[in-house]
Amino acid sequence: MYRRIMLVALFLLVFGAFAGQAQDEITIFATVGAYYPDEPTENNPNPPAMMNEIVAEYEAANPGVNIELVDTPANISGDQWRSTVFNGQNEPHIIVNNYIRVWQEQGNDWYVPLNDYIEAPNPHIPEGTPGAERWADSIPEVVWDTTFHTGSGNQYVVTVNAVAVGFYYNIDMLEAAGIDTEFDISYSLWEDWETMIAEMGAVAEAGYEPLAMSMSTASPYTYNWFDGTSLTSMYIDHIESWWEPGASWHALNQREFACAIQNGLISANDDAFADWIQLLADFEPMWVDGYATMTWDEAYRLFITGEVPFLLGNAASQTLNVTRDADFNWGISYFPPVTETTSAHAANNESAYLVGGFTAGFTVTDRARREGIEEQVVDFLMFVTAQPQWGRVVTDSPRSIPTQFGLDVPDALKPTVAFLELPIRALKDPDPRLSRRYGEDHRRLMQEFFTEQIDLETLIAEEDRLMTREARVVIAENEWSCDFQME
Amino acid sequence: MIRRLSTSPSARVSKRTSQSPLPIRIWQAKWLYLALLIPVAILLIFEWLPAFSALYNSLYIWNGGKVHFYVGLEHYERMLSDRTFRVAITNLIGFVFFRVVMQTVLPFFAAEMIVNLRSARWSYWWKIIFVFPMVVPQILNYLIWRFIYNPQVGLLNEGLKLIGLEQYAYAWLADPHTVMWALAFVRFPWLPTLQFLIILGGLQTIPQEVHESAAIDGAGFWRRLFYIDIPMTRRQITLAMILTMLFMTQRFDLFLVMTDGGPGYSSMVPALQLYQSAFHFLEFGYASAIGVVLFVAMLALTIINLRVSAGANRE
Amino acid sequence: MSLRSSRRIRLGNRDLPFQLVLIAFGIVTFFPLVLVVITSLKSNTQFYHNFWLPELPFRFGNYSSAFRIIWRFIVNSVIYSGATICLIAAIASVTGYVFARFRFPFKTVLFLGFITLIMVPGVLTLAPRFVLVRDLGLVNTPGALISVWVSGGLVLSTWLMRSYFESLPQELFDAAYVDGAAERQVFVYVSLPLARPMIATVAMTTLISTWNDLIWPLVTITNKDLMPLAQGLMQFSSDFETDWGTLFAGYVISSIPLLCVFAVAMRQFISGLTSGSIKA
Repeated sequence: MYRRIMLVALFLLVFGAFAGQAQDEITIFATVGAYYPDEPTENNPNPPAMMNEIVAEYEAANPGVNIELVDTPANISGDQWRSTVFNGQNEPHIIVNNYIRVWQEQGNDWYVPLNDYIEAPNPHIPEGTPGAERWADSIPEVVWDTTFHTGSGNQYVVTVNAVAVGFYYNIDMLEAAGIDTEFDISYSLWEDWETMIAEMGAVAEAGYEPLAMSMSTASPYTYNWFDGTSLTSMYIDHIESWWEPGASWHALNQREFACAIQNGLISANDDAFADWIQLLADFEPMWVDGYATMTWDEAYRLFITGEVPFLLGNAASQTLNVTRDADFNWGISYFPPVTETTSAHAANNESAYLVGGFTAGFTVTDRARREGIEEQVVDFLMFVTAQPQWGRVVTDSPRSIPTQFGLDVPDALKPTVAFLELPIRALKDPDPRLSRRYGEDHRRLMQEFFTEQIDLETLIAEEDRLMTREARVVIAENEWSCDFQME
Repeated sequence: MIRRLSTSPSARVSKRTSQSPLPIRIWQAKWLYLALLIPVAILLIFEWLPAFSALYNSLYIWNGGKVHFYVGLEHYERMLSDRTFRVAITNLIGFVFFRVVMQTVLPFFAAEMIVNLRSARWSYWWKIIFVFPMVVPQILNYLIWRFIYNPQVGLLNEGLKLIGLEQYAYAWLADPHTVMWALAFVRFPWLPTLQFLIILGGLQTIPQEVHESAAIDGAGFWRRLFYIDIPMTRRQITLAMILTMLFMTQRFDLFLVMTDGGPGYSSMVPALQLYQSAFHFLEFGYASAIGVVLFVAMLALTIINLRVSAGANRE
Repeated sequence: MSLRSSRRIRLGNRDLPFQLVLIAFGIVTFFPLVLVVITSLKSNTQFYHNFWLPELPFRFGNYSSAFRIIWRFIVNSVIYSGATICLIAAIASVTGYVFARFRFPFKTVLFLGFITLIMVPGVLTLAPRFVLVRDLGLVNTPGALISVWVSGGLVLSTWLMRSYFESLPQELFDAAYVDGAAERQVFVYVSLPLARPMIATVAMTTLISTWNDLIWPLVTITNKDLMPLAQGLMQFSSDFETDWGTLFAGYVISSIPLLCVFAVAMRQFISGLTSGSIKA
């Protein structure tokens, strides 16, 4: 019996020892995405650590407040991590999150609406700088528009990053293949989609696989970027009629797109839709072998070792890496416009589009409210995102272009500034376009089509079923009405 | 009291105690129940409670947050018409079948060879050598096998090029025709520690005399294998097969890391679909229903497997 | 290991073909591990340009970088895994003994309650279990890991212990009872010493599964000072970049404590599982 009692005691001891530590001080847990200060290693002796300084400054100015930075798990387990910590009410007070995830999850009241806060002055922004009197003024209207959730009428995300997407190209390799690469930073490498396909075809003729990219969620993937851009071009003549009243050119929100499907303004049975599938199908042979399960790192490796002349990448964060690693001349370009050369449906399209944009931002979670420290958490967020602080963060770690007024683009990212002057694509990646489930199933359907597991007819039929179903679900979930669109 | 209960072989005890009424037998065993209190409590709280709450949630639409309402058996109905689930089950059956065969046959032959080595020292060292890889984390193995299957510089394709079989160099993980094979061969020819040692243990306990008399009768290696070694280790082999089946059915990290179920749905399995339904689409109810079906299937297969094995033993 | 001598069957020298096959087996099995060591000595540039072969200069610095960052996670993991092993060994040996040696009402039901848990997919119970652990106030404490690791490991361990105790010959116990030993004494002085190999087996399997568990710490531990090793290793890879050399060096370092335990407990571990007691 003593043994058993001892066991019970040991058990209780281990379990009880760590439970219930009283805390008088406020502790704010925050994830900061790519700006999380890594520890130095042999291969990276001086990692950016500005976040540590900023935290220290804030703690010094606010006695009794502790800030704990939390490292977010990499992509593969990030979703699981997030839904479990929210479920267990153990989420950090501030989470860097993609706005589409926030939209998907906002019905759970996991995120605090920031509507009132962004209307108020931000005390950490110096007098005379945009945002000092009204926090929202520190960030361009277009950014707020993109991330605004129409369904609830709430703004949950403060987006301080802009990301651009483009093609990196290996100039040495292209010249060896006899392709002229005279390059002006303000233009795309190609006039139109056809030229791009033709030149990549020439590269393939010369014996290379042309484009390194990925179409797998094993890591962040790049296929999505063609998807939205080219679809935008195909429906260029109609998109205006999908807008909510009074809107000007903008990235369509879930409601507008779902209603367009519901009202029959876009359907997988359209000619334009078939043209779009054809366009992607013609492009697919240019993609590197194994793209369907390729990771970000594998695609990058192919480019940086000179095996493949083009890489579809994140022009913001990856430029740093390419600058560091490439031992050849390289350039960076954006997607060419899809014009009437490619499809009659794109006849009126003259523009290339910005791909990427304002995707990830800071959210304040329900935990701040539960613990009654909402004000303090928002104050810290105001502090971090104020220009004096954020400017230092992005200078130290130029992983993306700051959106705030009054901040310069870091030198390393200058080549991508031209990208940000392009108009936004009206139709976004498949996930934010309609729903996460749609994005996932659409990607898999396209893969089945590309690998010839299904034919065009089946693809169209499945797409039609998928779009109709998801539009219905999204509209029902949000209790939207679709009256605003004209048939 | 307890001592008397147990001094005799259990068969005799049960015969005697079964004559007394149930409450008395329970009272007699009170110390035993007390001893089981801790483990039973732990399992009830940390294992059964979550399992039952999953069963309960399978009848609800639940997004992991506020949205939570009863839908009855709707999720199970949906499964019947869910194309993804159908494909996933088909993939799983092939995968599990292959792995069960591979992870039984390989350990069996390795064990047979080790047991038959004349050098006791080598026999011991081989056991250690083959058990050693169990310290390697699973995730690390997956990373390495991604390298091996890499279409451009992977070891497999480089090897094929080296011996002039370039036409057989595939993007193994990205081709719907090869992906399940590629996944089934991950870690080949690694010997799963538990299964390997269990079978080895079975072979070791076959009495020497049996083999000696077989040798006198002129039985060669193969005859001995099929008429002595396999029948006499049947229970170990069955167990190894059941364990492999259970482990492989629940495996989702392999698919998540290597292919994410792609291309298309060609390497989707139910465990991965469960994971994605829950954590990507926030359909915890549907995910739970998939889990419940998996559990029932595994239970049924285990019972069938045991019955078949027991039947064969009686013959 | 008394059986070993009896294994020698005089059928001529057949060792050579067997040895050759086993060597081939061994080489293919171990080759990936050699790759890990090779990669751990490279920078990313070396790795990208030369995927398979070792390349000079060796970056031994990867090991010092990795160690400087992960040593505290190793300490954490030693504590967590150690506590888990002690608890599991203690509980599973008592439970296994009770199930193996006694007949009592509801025994079958209780045992089935243990064993069927092996068929419940772990990913299915992840979310509900997390809610539970949160309600117990264990999130962000070692208790979150130890409690769930103990319950998870208990299933297989109890079954292993039970099988082993069942295989012990009845005469051993009878002799002790005849000498007038109480049940507790029989357990402590007769059964436990005999069960050492299986306790080693239980300890080893528990150690390996807890040492490498990533998913559960990921969702329950956000405090960096409390993270176990597998979670700590994650910081060498991010969405957009992986530091392969340091990551693999970290994996090599992290397996060293396991190797030490392996070296000490190997003989017992193998003899526990190969005792022939484990079967369907």
